[in-house]
Amino acid sequence: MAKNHLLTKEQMKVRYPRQWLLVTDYKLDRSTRLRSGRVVASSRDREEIHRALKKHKGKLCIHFTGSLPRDTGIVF
Amino acid sequence: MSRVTYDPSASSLVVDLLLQSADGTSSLLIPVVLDTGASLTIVATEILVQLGYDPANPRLKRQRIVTGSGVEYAPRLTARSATAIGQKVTNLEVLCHDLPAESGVDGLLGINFLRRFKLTVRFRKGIIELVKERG
Repeated sequence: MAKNHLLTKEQMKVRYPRQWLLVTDYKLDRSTRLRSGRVVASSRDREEIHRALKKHKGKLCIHFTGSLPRDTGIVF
Repeated sequence: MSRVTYDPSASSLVVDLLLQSADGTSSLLIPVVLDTGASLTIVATEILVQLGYDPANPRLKRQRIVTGSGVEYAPRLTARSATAIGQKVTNLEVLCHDLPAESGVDGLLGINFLRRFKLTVRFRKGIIELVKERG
């Protein structure tokens, strides 16, 4: 990616479906939810995004654009 | 009022958690599951390391945790501050523990955060409200 354009969360979901993103210059709404930001790394592998964290400093955001498949349950 | 909406058909309640770094100069926003079944807030190892915390410090207390798959021990440390659903808690104890990537999250927002507020989940409408209670 030559230039990291400012994207809304909805645009990130369309451009990077079911991916983990590392986002900078982000903005939040009053309820601490991501509104927009610049995607500086994207991957289907979460570990890759965790590794990319080390190359950046300051205010960062990790965002996953997917959701759990409907046929998958979650129990912790 | 602090409120978020979510897809009512979703199988888990995912919210954003803003964690402040150990030295207060940076922060990281991560996706977490709101989990009223979790005693403590849980955050992935790499996230805490990035924020300048030291989960490998042998002097940290290790918390016994009972999970769906057995008993484990995880380092317990104090995050400078944590903010979710518009509400901020300072000096929040968190457990350092990694959840599977397939979960789509980097941690759990547990009772030690939620108990300081009035939490309302309107499952049919997909609304989560978290407000400070008076008295």
